[in-house]
Amino acid sequence: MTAGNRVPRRRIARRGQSLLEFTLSAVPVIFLLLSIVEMSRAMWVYVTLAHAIKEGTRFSVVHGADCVQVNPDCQITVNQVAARIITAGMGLDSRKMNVVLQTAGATQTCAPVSSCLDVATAWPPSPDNSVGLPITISGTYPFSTAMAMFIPQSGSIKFGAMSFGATSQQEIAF
Amino acid sequence: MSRTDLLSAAKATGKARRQATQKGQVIVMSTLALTLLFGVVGLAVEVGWALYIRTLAQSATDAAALGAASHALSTIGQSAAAVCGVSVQCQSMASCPGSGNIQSGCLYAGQNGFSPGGENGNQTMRIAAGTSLPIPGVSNIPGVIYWTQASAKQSMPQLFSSLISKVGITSGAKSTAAIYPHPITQSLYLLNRSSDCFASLLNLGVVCGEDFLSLLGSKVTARGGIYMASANSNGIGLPNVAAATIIGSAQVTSPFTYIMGNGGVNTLGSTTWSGAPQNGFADGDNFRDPMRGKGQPPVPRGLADHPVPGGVIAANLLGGTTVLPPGNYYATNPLTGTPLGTPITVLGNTTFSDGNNPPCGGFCNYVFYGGLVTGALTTTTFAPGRYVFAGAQPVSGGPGVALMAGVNSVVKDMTPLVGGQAAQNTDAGEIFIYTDTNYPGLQLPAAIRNAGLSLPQVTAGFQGGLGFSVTLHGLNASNSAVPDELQNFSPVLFWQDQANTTLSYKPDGSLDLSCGSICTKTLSVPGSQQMIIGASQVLGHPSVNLYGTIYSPRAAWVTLLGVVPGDTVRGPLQIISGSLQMAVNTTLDVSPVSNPMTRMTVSLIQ
Repeated sequence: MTAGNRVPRRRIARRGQSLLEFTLSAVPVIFLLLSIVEMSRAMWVYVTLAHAIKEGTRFSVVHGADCVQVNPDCQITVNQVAARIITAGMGLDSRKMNVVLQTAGATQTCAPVSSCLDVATAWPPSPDNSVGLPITISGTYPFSTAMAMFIPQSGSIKFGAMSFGATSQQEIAF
Repeated sequence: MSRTDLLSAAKATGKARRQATQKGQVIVMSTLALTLLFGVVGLAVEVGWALYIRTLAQSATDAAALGAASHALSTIGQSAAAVCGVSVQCQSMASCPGSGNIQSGCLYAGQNGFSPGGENGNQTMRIAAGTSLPIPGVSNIPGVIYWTQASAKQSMPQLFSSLISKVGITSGAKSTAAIYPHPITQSLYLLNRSSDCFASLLNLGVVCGEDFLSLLGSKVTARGGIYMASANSNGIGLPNVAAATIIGSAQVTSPFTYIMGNGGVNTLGSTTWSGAPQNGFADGDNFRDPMRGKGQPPVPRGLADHPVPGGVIAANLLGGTTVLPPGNYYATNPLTGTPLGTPITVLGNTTFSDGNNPPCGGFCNYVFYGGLVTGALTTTTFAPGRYVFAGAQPVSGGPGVALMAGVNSVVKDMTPLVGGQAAQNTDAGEIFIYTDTNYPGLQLPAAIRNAGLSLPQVTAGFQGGLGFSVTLHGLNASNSAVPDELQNFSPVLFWQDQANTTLSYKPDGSLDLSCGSICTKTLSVPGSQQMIIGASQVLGHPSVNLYGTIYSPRAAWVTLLGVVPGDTVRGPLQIISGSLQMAVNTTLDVSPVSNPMTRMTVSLIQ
């Protein structure tokens, strides 16, 4: 046997080593990257949802009874609030976002929020539009992620959906 | 070398060449992919950061605008005007000044993360304020006396997004706040808190936290809604009682009844309350005295004295009307002329007026010492003006009565009913002030002062015999005859002195908290916190028609007193009181007034 025959044998022995190493290192790296991306996406969804809900509430509380009394054009409607929420929730699918608008005595459900774009009911409705009364807007948005299978108590391996929720309550200011 | 060996060698050479040409391919692809990945992630981070800054900026500008306007309101109060450079600061959109109410706003913005030149000079915080209308960029809002507008911006370093655009990233927000007259529109404001106590009408002893009590067969229709400030729940133990108690077949109808905290309704019998009361509301302006900070309506000064010998004014009993000019009225001993402190009884038809048209130039002033009684079958007319009932002698240990209407008598003003009901008056209207001889600013007639006569608090409101009718209208600020000092109290009709309660008030009309909590006191005449509004009917028609606001301070109460079923008080009427007590079979039917009282309030408006 010559020396030239030993080299190929080592090469043969190393065949697949890179693949194995790549596999061993790539799986956690990809998992890590995916986790970061998905967590970031989840946080973005939640923050955007919360921002949109807060914007809708703020928009509502400065269009109360006092505003309407001095300027009838100040009266806003459910579809305007819905549009405001959709605009503020840029990037979220309005067909998946559910929103509930509440005053002291009235509730308007928009499931999804886009379904309220043609609801021209006055909001907040009288007499619940008096200054000092609360307005509550809450919203939910589904978040589907492949990472769900790694979440404790998510059960067997599946690509489940979570739902993020956000609520904003303010008193009618004007 | 065999042919097979040659082929094998050629294959090996080709494979090695291919492997050699593919070397570094993964690095290139990874680099490209990672660059793209990090670029997209970076862009997302930048956009997200900009949105986050915008949210922060909105909070900062909201706080700044509100803070600056709130500081201004605390300076000018409920009555004074906002004057640029005097009571408030004004400026066009500019950076923050070093002092004053605008600086206060900037400090609030700073607490929310935005300050001029903050974040290494990347932040801009600007604020404008003024009294002239319209507010820049805001549709006209009449009545605004002062406004503030705050703008906050932050420029951010542009990294990944510069690949798309090089315009730079600036995130910001703008808010506008204003001091404006907020209308107080609801029908019933019942102010008693859990700690406010008085003797129960149901002989339960002292009860605390009672806002509303309605007895057998009484009916309340409050078309403008009800607020109750007691957080006492149903079933709470004595001396506390539920915020409201309704008994027997009593009925309450209101578009809403909102109760603070855990406040509840105790129902005994087959009562109805529609729409259902709701509790759980946080403490706020709707559960506080809307008059706080306004002080009390001033009384007239420099009036002529009109001693009434024997306490009887014998007016024209055979027809016609006797005119009783403005002034101080008090009963005297017919022999000695010494003031008696007893009620003044008016017999025959009378008009409180100077006889001119309009009377007294549109607004008359009267002060009655000892109370006023109108005779049976008489008509008593009150011209637009201010009527002060400055105390009366106690009767059987209880308070005297301020105004008593005789059987089948008529008490009215100069605005007729419309369709049998009270409607908004165009004249100056009336205000009845119920107090004692210690009311701030009251000038006692020399005879009363020399006699050492001190008349304690009376039972406010009016009472009457069967078949009486009352038609009165509160102040109307849109009429120029209303004195400036009373403009802020329109459309008050009845005002009970804030001293006539067990709580201590400061001169500005806010509660005295100098004792650590609310200061309390004992009244010289027990039970004089009560205001009685008599209910009546004539030929089956409600005959007490009132327009305006009835005010009785917290820890005092208003009793609606009817005698037979159908006795009613109605009209565009608002009741602000510690508590409302409905006597058996009495009806209250009220709707919102057309010109509601207002209260200067600070609010975000955009």
